[in-house]
Amino acid sequence: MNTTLKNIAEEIFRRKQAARREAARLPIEEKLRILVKLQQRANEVRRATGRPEMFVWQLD
Amino acid sequence: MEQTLKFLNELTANGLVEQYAIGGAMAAFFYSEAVVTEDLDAFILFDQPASGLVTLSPVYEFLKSRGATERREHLLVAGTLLQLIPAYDPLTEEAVRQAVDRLVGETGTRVLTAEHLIAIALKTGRAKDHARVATLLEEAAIDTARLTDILERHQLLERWDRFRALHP
Repeated sequence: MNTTLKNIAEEIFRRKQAARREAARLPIEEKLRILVKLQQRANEVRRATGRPEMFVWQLD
Repeated sequence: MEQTLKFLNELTANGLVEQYAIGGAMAAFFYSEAVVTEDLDAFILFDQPASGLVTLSPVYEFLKSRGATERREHLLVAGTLLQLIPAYDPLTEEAVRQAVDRLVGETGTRVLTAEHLIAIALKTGRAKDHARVATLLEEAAIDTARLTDILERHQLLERWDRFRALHP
């Protein structure tokens, strides 16, 4: 195994983990806005693959 | 979602349910990053009637009187797809009773603790439940002593050990 490439990969994984932990600390209201975007994106994939769309929440 | 939570709070205020708490993926939102989900799971705890018979009909009727409509196995309530789940065993009953108060916007609600979410997910045991456990362990502040106590009292330590062996 190329040590440099392994180090690069490990650094990428470490940054991803840090980003997930940061995302976990967002306020719930922001997470709900993200959820709606995720639902919309999921539906783009579902439409493209002929699967039934999921319900997209309407936030207050 | 706030309006949906207000209606859930009304269920408790009007005595239709003893208590409720948000569970599932949406409860995990309070402890970890947002992931895609379609519905809001609400576990509900009923006062046990003398007859022992419990029905969701009065709850459904109440929510329909507030504009909810049925959509497959869900209720569409104020723009949110709601799945009502009666607390169905000692673990989920305890989880609802020990849920914590949280605010969404200006509306109060009750949310299962991260430790109970892990225990319920371990007990349910589907792949997506295991993924939720892994996410919570990585991103949430877990009270290990509390989690161990819950797992021990609900005979889930063996499942926990198997999970940890697969996800060290």
